[in-house]
Amino acid sequence: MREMDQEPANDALIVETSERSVAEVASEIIRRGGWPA
Amino acid sequence: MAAPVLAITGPGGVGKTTVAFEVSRRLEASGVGHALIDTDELDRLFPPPSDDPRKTKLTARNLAAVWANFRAAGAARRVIVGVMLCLDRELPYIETAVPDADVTVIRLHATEEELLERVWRRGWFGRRSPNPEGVLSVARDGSRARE
Repeated sequence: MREMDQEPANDALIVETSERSVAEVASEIIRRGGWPA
Repeated sequence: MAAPVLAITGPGGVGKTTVAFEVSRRLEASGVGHALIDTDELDRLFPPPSDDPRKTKLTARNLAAVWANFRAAGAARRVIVGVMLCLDRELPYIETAVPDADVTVIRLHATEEELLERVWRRGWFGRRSPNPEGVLSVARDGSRARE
């Protein structure tokens, strides 16, 4: 579970973190994951 | 009924654990029942088993056990965080360990420059690989994702 690989994973939703707050990133994850919150 | 799962992945320094804790905090604040599992904590064993040097089987067994315990405790949703980058190899054993899972994989991304800067600030250089599976510490007050 710890191998490093910079290649994008297939079938994953990509969420950008650069120049964004943790709150923004978490909010996008919840929204794009279709979870309530 | 399948259990919704968010699997948060990404390279070292991208902020997986910090973001996962924030997701968990927000879900809790909204009254959404869930459990948070950090897969990086499921294989902290030395030396590794001789028949499982990469500790993949160990992680799967631990994940299944933790999963079952959380499910029995009532967690309808789960957030999994960890460096799971080769999904073709890793998702099958996750799905075996958690057969009721409906997994949505979220891969966090940052520019290479920012990853290196974050890792540098954490003091990894000189002690470990310049690209470890460390985590990003960032403010939770809305400030930018920098230490």
